[in-house]
Order: sequence, then structure tokens, then C-alpha cells
Amino acid sequence: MKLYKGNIITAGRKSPLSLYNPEIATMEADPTQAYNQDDATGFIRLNGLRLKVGAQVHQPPAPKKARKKKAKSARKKK
Amino acid sequence: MLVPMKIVLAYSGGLDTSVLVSWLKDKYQAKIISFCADIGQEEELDGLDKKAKKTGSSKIYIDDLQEEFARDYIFPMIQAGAIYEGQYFLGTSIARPLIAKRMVEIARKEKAQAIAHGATGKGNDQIRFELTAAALAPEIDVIAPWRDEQFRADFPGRKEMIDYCAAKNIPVEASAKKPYSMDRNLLHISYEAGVLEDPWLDASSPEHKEMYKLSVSPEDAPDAPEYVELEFEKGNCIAVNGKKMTPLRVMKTLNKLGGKHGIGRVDLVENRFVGMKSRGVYETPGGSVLLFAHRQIESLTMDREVMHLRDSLMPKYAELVYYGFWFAPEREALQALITESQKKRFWNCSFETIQGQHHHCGKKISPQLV
Repeated sequence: MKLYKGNIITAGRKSPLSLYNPEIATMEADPTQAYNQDDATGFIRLNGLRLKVGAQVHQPPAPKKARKKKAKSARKKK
Repeated sequence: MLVPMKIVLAYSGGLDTSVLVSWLKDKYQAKIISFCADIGQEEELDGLDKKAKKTGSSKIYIDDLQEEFARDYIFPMIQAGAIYEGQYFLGTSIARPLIAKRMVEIARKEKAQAIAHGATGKGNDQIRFELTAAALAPEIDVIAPWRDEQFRADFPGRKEMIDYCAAKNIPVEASAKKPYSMDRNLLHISYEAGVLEDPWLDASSPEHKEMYKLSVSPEDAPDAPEYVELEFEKGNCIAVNGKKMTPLRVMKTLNKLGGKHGIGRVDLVENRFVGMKSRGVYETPGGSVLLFAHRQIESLTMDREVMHLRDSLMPKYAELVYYGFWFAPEREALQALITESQKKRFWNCSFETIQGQHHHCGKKISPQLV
């Protein structure tokens, strides 16, 4: 850490017990093959399932094309 | 999935999205409608429509969503006091739902069958976009080219993308690759990947000074403190130094002020929703000032039990925003509680900011306190 005039600034962190694995996080080729991007598709689909069902049930129905109606007051005046 | 006739694509004009327009068009034999949101990323939007058309888009939407972003996304999140894992101010997380919402609106208007994004299969953004689409437009499909094995095989690196653009006559600036990747909007700027993948690398060292865009380092901030007074109403900042402002103006003003004094820099390792840890550096100058001031005023005007209850739920709220569950019933339920907790609040808060730190020096309740 860097300590400066009321600030505590991170200068780096490391540990033999680190759970951070740059090979998994990286966007470059991952030699561990630990992460398969295709898995994300299923993960997202299942997490979104209840949101989709909720949207289908609670979504307002698509507006029907309204017939042109004269205002009641306009009709009365006639 | 039905073979789409029209796809709405999140488009920035950069290398990746330029490739996507063409690649999607070829693969799906579809019309591509490009969409670019101005959410304060301070990128040149002039000429973007021409570029998009030249790249193969049949249409482009460029929408200024800054005020909506500040008012309907950032400010409600500030009311929650939301911070993820004690450090991350959620600058990127909170922007994605807005972008995706607008994309599905456009998709419905244009009768498009799918939306597409350029987020990778290893990150959080893909989830944020797609959960929003699921919640708002369940009938619309989502295409994520980075999760397409063929796409990844075609483009193992930047070089292949640049070559593809050259072959297709797609105009791109072949700028030198940065040693990290950035995402910028009204609330923050994030830096990840590249050299930052080493968590022992000191991102605050003078060697990396040029990386930062929104703030100076505390070491380079003015020696003299600066006073700023913020006025809040129902949990939202409505004036800075006596001047009434819209949420957008508040953000821009406090970004400038905070950045000048070296406020809001964070270097962290976070847990992504997809399971791995990731190192990121962030600048959130205005948001940091807002959160701090908001807490000061609540300490004066908020009931103890309401505060403790709201604070106990804040990490969950932050997690929902981080994971991408913005348009989700549980976030909306928590937001209702937060809004209720903010109802009775008219106040002023005065600050002194100095070199990366902010100290309050006084709070007062305005005479109009209800």
C-alpha cells in the first residue's frame, strides 16, 4: 500500500493462497482450459428463465389497433 | 431460433463492433440496425452514422441517454448507497440495463427478431445485457458472437480482425493496442486486462500515470482544499454550490471537481458472476463524492432502524446490480424500500475536499424540512 496525506492507495497484492488465476480471467488463450465460454449461454438462459416467464405473464398485452372514435361530447353536440 | 431478418447491434464504431456488423450480416443474411448510446463515454459521435452505413448497417440509431442514465439509474443506485464487495462503485454494471432496454425498444419498433452484443463469454456484461432482454422482451433472441465457436476461430486476435476489415473495406483506425482495456461512461472509467492481469503490479506508480483519464493522482492534486456544498432532496442531489442542477449536470460537475482533487481511484480484485476473480482499476470521481455526501446527510436525518435495515440489504442490492438483475422483481422490491427510506429528506451538506480525501465539515437541515 501507499500511504499519502489521508489516502490509502493499493500498490499490489499477492498470496500463495490466491484464488485469482490470471489464466482463467484472461481474454487471451487459456492453457488451463478451465473456462468454456459456451457454458455461459446455459448459465444466462437459466438465470433469465424466471425473468422471461415473469415478463410473459405480466407484460401488458400488445395494444390493439384502436378504431377511430369521435369523442362522446362531440357526438352529443351533433 | 428463427433465422433473423433484422438484428439490432450494440455499436461503437471501434474495431470489434465494426467486425460484428459485417460478420452478423454474412452469417445470418440479415439487415443490421446499429445502435450507439451516448452515456457520457466522451467519444466522437460525428461521422458514426456514415461509418456504420459504410460497414454494412442498413440503419443507425445514435441516442443521447445521458440524462436518463443519471436520473433513472445512477441516482437510484446512490440512494441505496450501493458498493459491490466494499470497493466497486458499479459504474459499468449500471449502464448495461439502460443500453439493452433501448436496444429491445428499437428491436420492437423495427420488428427485429434479435439483438446482438459484443461482450465476451467470460465477463459480466453478457449477463447484464441478456438478463435485461429476458425481462423486457422475452420474445426477442440474443446473439453473442463471442460465444460462437466459429467467430472465436475466425478471430483469435486483433490482427485477424484488422485483416478482416481491410479485406472488406471496413474503415477502422488501426491504433496501437493498449496494454489494458477500458470502458467509460458518465459514472466511471474502468481499466482491466493486459498488464493489469498481474495483481501485484502497482497501477498507482508513476509509470502508469498516463492510463488515468478522469482524475489526477492524490500526489498531483492541489495542496489547498476546496469547499463544495451539496443540496439533496429525497435522496437526490439537486444543487451544487447553490446552483440547481439536473442529475446529468450534477454528475458532470462533481466528476470535474472530484477528478481535480484526485478522488475516486480504486484498484481491486473482484469476483465476477461467472466465477473467476478479476483485477480492475476504476476512477469514479463524482460518484464517490455523491455517495459520501449522501451518507453524511442520512446520518443526520435518517432513523436508526431504517438506516441499519437499508444498510443490511445494500450488499444484496449491489450484487443484483453487479450480476445484471436490474430489471428484476427483487431489485425493484428493494428499490421500493430504498425510495421509502429517502422520502423525508431535505438537506444541505457541506464538504471540504482535499487531495483524494473528502472531509465533511458541517451538515444542516434546510428550513423546508418536512
